[in-house]
Amino acid sequence: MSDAPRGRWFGPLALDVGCATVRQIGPLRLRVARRVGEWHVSWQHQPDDETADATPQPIEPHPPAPDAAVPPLGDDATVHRFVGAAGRNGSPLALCPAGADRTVVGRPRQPFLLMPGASHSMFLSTALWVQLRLGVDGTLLHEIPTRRPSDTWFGPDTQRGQLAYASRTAARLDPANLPPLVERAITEVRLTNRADDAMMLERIHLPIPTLALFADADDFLWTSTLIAIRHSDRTTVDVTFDDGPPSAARDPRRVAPARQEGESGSLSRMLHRLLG
Amino acid sequence: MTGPSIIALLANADAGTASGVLRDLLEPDRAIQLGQALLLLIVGWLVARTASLTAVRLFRARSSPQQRLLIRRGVAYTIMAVFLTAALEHAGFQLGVLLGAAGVLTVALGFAAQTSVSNIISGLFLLGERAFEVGDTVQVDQLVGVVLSIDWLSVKLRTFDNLYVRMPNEAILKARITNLTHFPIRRIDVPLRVPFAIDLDRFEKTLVAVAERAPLCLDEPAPALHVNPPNEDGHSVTFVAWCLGANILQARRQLVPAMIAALRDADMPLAHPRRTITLVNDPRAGDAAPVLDGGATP
Repeated sequence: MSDAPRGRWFGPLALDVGCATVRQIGPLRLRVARRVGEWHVSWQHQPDDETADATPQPIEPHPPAPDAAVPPLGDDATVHRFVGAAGRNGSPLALCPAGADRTVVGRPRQPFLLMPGASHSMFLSTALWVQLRLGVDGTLLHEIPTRRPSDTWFGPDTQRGQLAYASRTAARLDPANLPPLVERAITEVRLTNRADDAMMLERIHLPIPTLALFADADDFLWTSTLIAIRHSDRTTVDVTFDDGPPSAARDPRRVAPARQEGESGSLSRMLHRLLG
Repeated sequence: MTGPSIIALLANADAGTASGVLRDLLEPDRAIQLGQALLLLIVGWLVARTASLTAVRLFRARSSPQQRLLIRRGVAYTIMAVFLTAALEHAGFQLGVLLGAAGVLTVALGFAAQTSVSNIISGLFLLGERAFEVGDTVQVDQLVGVVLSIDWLSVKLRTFDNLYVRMPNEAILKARITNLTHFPIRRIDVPLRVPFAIDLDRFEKTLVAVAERAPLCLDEPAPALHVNPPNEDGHSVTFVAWCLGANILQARRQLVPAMIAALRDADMPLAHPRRTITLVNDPRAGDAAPVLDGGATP
């Protein structure tokens, strides 16, 4: 573990039969045991507050050890047994990161105004999901959110719209100010305001399922970059995403594809689709 | 085969005696003719069933349960009508004469089956109006259930205690129907009574924070406190929060206990109905029992 980059919790689990390990991914505590003929996976979410900058915890509080030596999680843990997937020569189990399975509506904690003619990057982070994948073909067994975000509704009224996750964000301008959280992925949003009035950003609709995931040199995760340009007519915003590695991340490498195919070129055109 | 029509047969058979009709039907040629007509009906039923199921399977991905019901019935009834016509022709019925007789018959049946006809017409209106569809959860008067089917005569519901309820279309058409799943999101209303001494702004902030922490409650539309006219026990308020319609039971289960716990932690008790009884000594009564003067505390 000492040689591993500090944000790394994903990758194959090197476990012998009869051994177990525990991973702490933000508020998610995950215990994986390899038993004869099965993977025994249990997890629990520890109470946390999304608005607080959590104290980093060791990612691997219990390195691989005999099953009996690794303490079980509490009574409130959820347990899944994947039977027939782990014989003596069974397929290895891997923990893979994934973005949220719905779009995320980020709301800056303070009103955010971009001046006329200005262009700036804003960085925000969203909760990650942990996927349990099996074998070389990566069959998806299950996925668990590191933190269950609150639901929200994104639409013009209560009849039309879509269900999304809500996220409060500090909307930082410098990625170095983002707290190093292993359970979240950073998204850079490049905002350009070509209109002659200030652009008020009350909320931003992030199409996370269409964004790929990248790991930086420390194995913290990033999504593809979003580019939003508000045109001079004040009502139209072109939103595209740059599918390449995020330029603000150090030595980025792709670790997971997007969940869904994005609409190429323009994710959405109308202002209300992106901004509240 | 050019056998006599049933109408002519009824008119001519041995001066209209039943035995004459029966004898004619039992003739080998006639029996074969009727058997073939019956076979046509059976084949028609099979074809209609297969075709309707195939059509439903074809449109399964891009149709609602209601549309699938209409497709299945439309295909099945059309095919059955074609086969029924062919079978009747084959059996020697003259359709023109039959239709003429049907006019008279319809009037007679109309009087005899007013309720059924009314239900059928109501069913057509229900399908056309689309106030609800198969799979929706509806409330009809005091009854809440999931719509299983909208049939010619009745709507079938399954209640949440797993009862099968048949409601005549006519009754549904006249009743007040609330479709609980028409819109994707719903509001949870929690009525509360708050003592007058409690600051409502602080009370609202406490509850909003609870709703924001409850994962199944939506951040937007934002949770809020609606203040109603006060009553004698205190402020009458309703805390409202939104959730996905399908999650309403779980969301309410998440929200309400958390609200109570947060109010207890914040030392903001809810108001309880109270009566204050004042005992007054009536000097005229001497040592007699005191008079009770009851009233509600403000």
